[in-house]
Amino acid sequence: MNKELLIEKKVEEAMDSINFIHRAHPSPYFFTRVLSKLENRKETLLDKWNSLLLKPSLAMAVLGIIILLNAMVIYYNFSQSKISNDQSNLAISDEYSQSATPSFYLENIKP
Amino acid sequence: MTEKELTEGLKNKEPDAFRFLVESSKGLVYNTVLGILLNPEDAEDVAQEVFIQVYESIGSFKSEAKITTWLYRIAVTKSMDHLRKKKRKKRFAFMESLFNQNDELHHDPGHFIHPGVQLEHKEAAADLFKAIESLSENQRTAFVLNKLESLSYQEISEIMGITVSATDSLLHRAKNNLRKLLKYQYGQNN
Repeated sequence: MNKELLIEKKVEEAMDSINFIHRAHPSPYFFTRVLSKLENRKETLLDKWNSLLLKPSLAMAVLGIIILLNAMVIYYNFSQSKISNDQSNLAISDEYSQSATPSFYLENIKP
Repeated sequence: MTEKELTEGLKNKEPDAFRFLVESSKGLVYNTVLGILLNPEDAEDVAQEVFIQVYESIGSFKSEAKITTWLYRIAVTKSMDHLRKKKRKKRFAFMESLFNQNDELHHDPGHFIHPGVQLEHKEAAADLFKAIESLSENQRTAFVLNKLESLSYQEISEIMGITVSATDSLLHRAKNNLRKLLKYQYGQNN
């Protein structure tokens, strides 16, 4: 019985041991370390980009994609202008088909 | 510096605003991370990472929330990520030791002693922190925020993204589990 009571007492002591705890603080050079980490990260990011862009296989692939995209845009624009030309031709012919018919044709048409 | 000025300054990447934030809140971030990780070296490293993330992702911070709530949230998430990474490494090391024949000594970090504990309670607090290590992630977070940072249930619920009643239940279970763990610990010793 005594042993159990002793354990209970120790448990409660442990539970209460952090009731008046103070806040822990990092080292005095914390801010300087954050800054240097931030600088290192920026440099490594830049290095990563540079090394990626300097890789010949990746550079060729990027160049290929750019050429392909350009070709697609040119083809799209060309086909669009062709369609619009055809449409405007049709519209013009629709508009003038009646009035553009010479009157002697109309006169020679027999009912 | 008001909270609005600070947020604006951080968004504009002003060095003075960033310095003010780090200097004024390094204690709360470090203390929270230390309470979860129970290792001063890891805590310092993770606390630095917290401020780097703040600097990099301040654009996504919504001004309706308090900046300290956001800081606590990042600190908790980073600490949990670090704990998971450490667990994975431990598991990998264990698997490796099964296949390797050379008997390497395993390093046991020993009891953690929080620097803010009063001298007369150091021993009892070391036992408590040992028990805290066995709590689940959520229970550990809620307990640390409540006991080490003296945050209210409302504040904890905002940081953890849960309801106040869920926080209450988490803390209740955390305390019960700690009592059980300590009872077992002391029972073994006697």
